[in-house]
Amino acid sequence: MKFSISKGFTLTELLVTTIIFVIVVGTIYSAQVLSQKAYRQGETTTELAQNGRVILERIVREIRQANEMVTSLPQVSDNPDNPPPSEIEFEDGHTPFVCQQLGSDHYYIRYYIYTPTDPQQPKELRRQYRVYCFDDCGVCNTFFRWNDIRIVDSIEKETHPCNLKKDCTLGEEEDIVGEYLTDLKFWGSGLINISLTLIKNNKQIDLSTQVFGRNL
Amino acid sequence: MIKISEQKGIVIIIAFAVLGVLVLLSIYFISFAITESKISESHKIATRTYYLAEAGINEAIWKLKNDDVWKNNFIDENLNPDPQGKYWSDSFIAGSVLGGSYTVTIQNSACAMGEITSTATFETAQRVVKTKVFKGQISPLEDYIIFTGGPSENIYISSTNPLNIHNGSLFSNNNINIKDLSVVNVDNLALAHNNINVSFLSQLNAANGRCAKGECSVNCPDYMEGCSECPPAQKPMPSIDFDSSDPNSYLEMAKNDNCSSVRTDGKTNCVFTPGEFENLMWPNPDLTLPADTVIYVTGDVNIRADQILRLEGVLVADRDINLGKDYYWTSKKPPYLRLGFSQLIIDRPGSPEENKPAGILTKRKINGGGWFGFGVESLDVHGLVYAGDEMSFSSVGASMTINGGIAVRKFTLSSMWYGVDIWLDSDVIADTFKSSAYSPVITIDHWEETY
Repeated sequence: MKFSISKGFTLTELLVTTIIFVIVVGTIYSAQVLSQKAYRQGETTTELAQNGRVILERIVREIRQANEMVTSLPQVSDNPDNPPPSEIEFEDGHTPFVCQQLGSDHYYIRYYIYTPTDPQQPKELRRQYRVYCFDDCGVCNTFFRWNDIRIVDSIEKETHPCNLKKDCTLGEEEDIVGEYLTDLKFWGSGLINISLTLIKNNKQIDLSTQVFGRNL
Repeated sequence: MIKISEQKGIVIIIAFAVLGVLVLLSIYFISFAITESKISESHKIATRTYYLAEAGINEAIWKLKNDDVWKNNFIDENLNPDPQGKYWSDSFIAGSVLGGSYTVTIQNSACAMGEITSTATFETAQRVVKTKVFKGQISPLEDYIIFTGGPSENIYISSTNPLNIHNGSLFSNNNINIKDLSVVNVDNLALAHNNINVSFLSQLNAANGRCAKGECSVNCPDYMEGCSECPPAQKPMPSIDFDSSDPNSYLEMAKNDNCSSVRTDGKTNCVFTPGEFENLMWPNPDLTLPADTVIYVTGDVNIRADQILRLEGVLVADRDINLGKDYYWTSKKPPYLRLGFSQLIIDRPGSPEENKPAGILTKRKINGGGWFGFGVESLDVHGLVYAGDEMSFSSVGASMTINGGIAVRKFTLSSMWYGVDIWLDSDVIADTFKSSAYSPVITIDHWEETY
């Protein structure tokens, strides 16, 4: 009796082949994962740069034409006794005012960082458009400058801000300008310095510029 | 024949081929990752560098407004150009506080006009932003389209419909009188040191109000809350250097200009006696004078009897300029008699950036008569109309268009039923007055990013 010639593989062959296959596929998979990661990081950088650009362009445009600075800004960024603020408020200088129909002669814009209650959510740059009143915001129909003072019964009374909605009625409705903003600094007078930091997925972008407030 | 699959060693070839494909695939993935990472890093630093460059531009504009050296040198006529013919330039390096640095250079190309170049560098990136800036010359007439400087003379409009004052105001050092069915439309203010009198059936429509005795609007320069009147203070009549020995006087400019292409008397300059100027017009009913010149006539100028006179530049007279006072004109030279209406067309030479003067200037009067055009724009001027004494027009058939402004001691308009339109052009007014004052406002004319 004659055995037919075996046409299969030996165990050794199978083992060696499998190991080589696993190494090669593993390498390719790693490279693919790496490229996916790089792509996502690129996407994140683009998103951060886009947010940073929108934030800077918007703030720069409005400061350039601001009539008066409400926030007191230090001259330098590195004085520990007078650190630069992370929010800014100034009088809107673009006319006609978007809420002209309200009848105020002075409108104010405030930019600040909003931290959501859910720590998973990114921080946002928000913009408030506001007027200043002596009366409660709910009933206010006469508007003043931010630093006007009224004396009632020999007591000095200061104005307080009342925010405006998009339809120019009084109420809380804020404009989200950009996300992922973790730090914002303003300093200087006349020539205002702006520095901001955006972070997402451990990617960080720092942007800085200066703007000359033509009316300040 | 042996089948390929039965050949010994084929497995290893196939295995290497597959392995090669897989290796190529992995190289592609790794290269993709590296490229993506580079793009991402480049994008990050490019954005940062761009905003640094913008910071440099803003700092330069700030210096032009606030730094005494920059502010003065930018508009210093002795430095732009200097005796060697060079224009002022300066530069500075800054920005370390913003992380990275930028170099800013300003190079003037004319007085009060220059280009700012801001070159920012951060790590491996560089961005260059350029912008052109200039300061406009201040018109001595501010935004007054008709200015009467005589302390006791008026703006007098009668039987004229409409007189349209576009983009500017009316100003009188005495009264503004509007009578006899006249309609005057003013885009800004009507200002009179004394009174504004508008008779029954006449109209003065000043979009931003009237400022005079007994009248006031919130837009008046002297407005105060609760005031019932806010007449402006009297203002001096701005002067023009007609004939001093200064090389910038109009007489000296005319002496240096070349009119040989139209002169037949052997002279080449553009200074004419009244007789020489009449001799020039007589055989040329449609006369175009050499472009970009100052024509200076040392006496009266009479534009009459079918004369059309065209000029890109300035027509100056030592005495009166009379337009269309005569329907006929006779001479002993052919064609012996000329009949018809007349026309004067003055244009501004060059582009506004070249700051060339244009208009009609006279030490005494500008008179417009009944034979001045008919149904056409008989007086069409892009420039300044200046009379040391009175400007008086009375013509039923003529219309008038001026793109510039009028500065006269006294202004009288009557029977202008074809309408008068005057647009403000402060630039040509400033250039013709040769104003040396510059606006505090810096105008950004052009912006570009280069690589």
